[in-house]
Amino acid sequence: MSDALLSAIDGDAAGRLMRHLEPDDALEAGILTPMAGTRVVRLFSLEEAERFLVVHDGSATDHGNMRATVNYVDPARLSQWIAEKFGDTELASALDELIATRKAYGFLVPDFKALLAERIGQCEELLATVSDGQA
Amino acid sequence: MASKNGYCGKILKVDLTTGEFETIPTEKYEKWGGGHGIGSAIFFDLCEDKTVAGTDPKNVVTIMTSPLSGTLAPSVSGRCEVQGIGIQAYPTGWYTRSNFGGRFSTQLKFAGWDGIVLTGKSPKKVWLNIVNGDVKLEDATDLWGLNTRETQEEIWASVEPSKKDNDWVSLGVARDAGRTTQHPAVLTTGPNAELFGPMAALMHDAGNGAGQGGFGGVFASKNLKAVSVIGTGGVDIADPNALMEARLWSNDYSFAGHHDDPVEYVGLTSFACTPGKPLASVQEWSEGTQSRPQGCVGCVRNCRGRSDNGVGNESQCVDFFWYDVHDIKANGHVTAATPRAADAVQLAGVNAFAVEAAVLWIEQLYNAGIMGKGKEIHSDLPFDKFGSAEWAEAFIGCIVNQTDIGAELCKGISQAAKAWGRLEMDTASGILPLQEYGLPHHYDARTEVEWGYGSLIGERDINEHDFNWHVYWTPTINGLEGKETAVSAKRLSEIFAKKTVPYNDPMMVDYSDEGIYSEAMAKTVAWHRHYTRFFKQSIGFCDWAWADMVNPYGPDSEGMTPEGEIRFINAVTGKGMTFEEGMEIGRRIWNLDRAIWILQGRHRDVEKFAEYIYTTGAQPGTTTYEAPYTMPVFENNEWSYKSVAGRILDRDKCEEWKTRFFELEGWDPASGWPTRATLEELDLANVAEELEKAGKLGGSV
Repeated sequence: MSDALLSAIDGDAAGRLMRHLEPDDALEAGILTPMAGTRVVRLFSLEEAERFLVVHDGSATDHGNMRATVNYVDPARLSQWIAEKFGDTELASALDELIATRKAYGFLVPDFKALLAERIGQCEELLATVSDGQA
Repeated sequence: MASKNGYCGKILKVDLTTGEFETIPTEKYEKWGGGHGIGSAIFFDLCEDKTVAGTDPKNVVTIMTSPLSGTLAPSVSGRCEVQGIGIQAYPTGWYTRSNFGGRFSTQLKFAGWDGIVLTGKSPKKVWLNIVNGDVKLEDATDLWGLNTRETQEEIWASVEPSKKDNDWVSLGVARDAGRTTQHPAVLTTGPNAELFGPMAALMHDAGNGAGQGGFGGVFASKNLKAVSVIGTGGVDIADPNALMEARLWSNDYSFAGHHDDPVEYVGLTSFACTPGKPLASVQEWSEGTQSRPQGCVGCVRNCRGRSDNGVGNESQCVDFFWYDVHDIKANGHVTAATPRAADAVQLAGVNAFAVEAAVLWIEQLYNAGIMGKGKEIHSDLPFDKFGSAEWAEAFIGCIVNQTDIGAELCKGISQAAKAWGRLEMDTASGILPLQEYGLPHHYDARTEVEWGYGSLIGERDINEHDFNWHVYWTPTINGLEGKETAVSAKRLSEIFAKKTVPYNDPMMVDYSDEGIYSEAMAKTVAWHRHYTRFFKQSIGFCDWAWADMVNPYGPDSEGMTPEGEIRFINAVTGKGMTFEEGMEIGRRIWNLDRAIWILQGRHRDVEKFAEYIYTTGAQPGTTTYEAPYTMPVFENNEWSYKSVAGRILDRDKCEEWKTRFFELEGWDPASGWPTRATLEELDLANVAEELEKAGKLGGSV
């Protein structure tokens, strides 16, 4: 992925992006085990989604250990969730660009995680500033 | 008729109606190879009305070995083919097949028989007792309600009353009647299998099952509980030295040849797979359970396990996978519930694939508040314990005893869905994963199309992994963790091109959005159907070891196919056959089967997937035990592995693909029916005659 940064956001957006959603709006992800299905996990915030994405170093699959679990969230659903529930169309578009490459999931995760972390970082910085100003 | 060049020379025909036995000379059918080929040819000759239901006494069931059965040919010797008109598919019970491993085919050969043909219906409950050349129908009244283990133990005690543990036992009173350390090999139904026929399997030993087709129900409809066989003869080999040389040569391609320094390969392999567990390290026993490898006669792959607590013994793959998904969901990891659930299906003689699909559906109905106590579909099953062994055993019990929701499910999954008014709705949404002909979704037709097309143009879920390990599982498992696959997509296309004689087209593994409707994909499906019809279903090469396409121990990652199969066949039979000739026999068998389905009502217009395949993208990881698909694609003049998860099939393009396929096969594209020219080219003029009489011979291509 390129080093493209997400554009700056304002405090209102930061507050919206860092909120916890109601259960009906949660994103359904799952802990996937090849040949043993998926245990559903519900994600309620951007921070949870970022933490849920795990970058693997490949060691879990060494020696044919295919029972390794993978934290899996359907990429298209993640993007749609971010656009619809948080209103962050820029972040969603950035994810969509990656999804369009149709790389395998494990190759998308590091870039997904970096993008989410960048946005969360922006939010945290803004909210800290607001909080300092109010103090 | 002594055994010669792999064949015993005779096939046992049992008229269950009259209780009479006849001998069919194998020579009459030897050109079909063995197994499925011979079985289909006999069925075509003996089944006077191929449109009858599978439970009709006119149905002819064959149980066939191959010339390689009972020999040292690796991962082929222990397979056995069952076929006849099935009762699982819906709404038409197609003429179909199933296949099981273990010791049965070997014992049948040692007893001097190449196969068994069952016709008619017994006036009373019986089991068939074969001890070498002595054949009897025995009273099965007391066996009828027993489970598969109890039945086998009762028959063992009946055939070998003096046998203790692993001691030798003499068969017959004559000095040279023969001795053995073996128990009889018994193929049996579960308790009262006629009452849950479409779900009923045939079982042999602890974990060998002919699950597909409902043959447990077909047996029971003939008042036949079990077939038992034990023999003390041997199998004549044309060239024993060549067989030993081939076996030693193949050792270099197996884990056994490299056990001190196994290769680090992430993915699924065939012949090279680690023994002891069905899919290398995939099969999990519950924590603390030790197991050792176990396999069919003559196998180096030994995909099953025997555990120290005896639970789940000899089970593998979907025997576990039908429930491990729910066990893990409930408990976080595999517990004792999974092997207990495996035992539940094995003891009851229930088709694990069928219950896998049923449980995925039932889970969704329960979660949606549609099924449960006092709900639209009432059930007293302990859903609060879903994922536990108690739930699994209660569920299997309700099918076998026709209680609770089992009162409908015992008639088949589609039939239950229809009774509950949900068939159309739930196969449209996909929550009821029946992919074609009411048969359980296994691998996804939307993504791994060779699997879907093969099942659709055929008559059952193909359950043949020749492409699957390499085009789906290996890149998908690697891709999920961001790991490069050891064999690149380009190299994979080269390997498959080399091995898929006679087509040899590198585009045959292009699973791109265009590739799945291409002429190359028609070749893929044709190659697969022809290869498996002969080499797997007729000669018995086990699906879990053959075809050997990609093999990390082979030169440049190439497996033994096509050389391996032919070396073993020729060593045993001395026929000097080429691989191409084997493929041509496979094409011949495929056309014969096609003709039977056409007589049953097959036309291209009924060859449609369930609605969800055309309308609903797969929700990755939530259908069966699948993971989101990453597959090889050729796009922009480049090979790569790409995600194809969530794809749906285009209805019109599917129809165009069918036309391409029919033209490739020499079938009438308007109907999908073989033409006279094609059938005569395959020496099937008699089949053309029968189709013409029925008004179902294809016009020109």
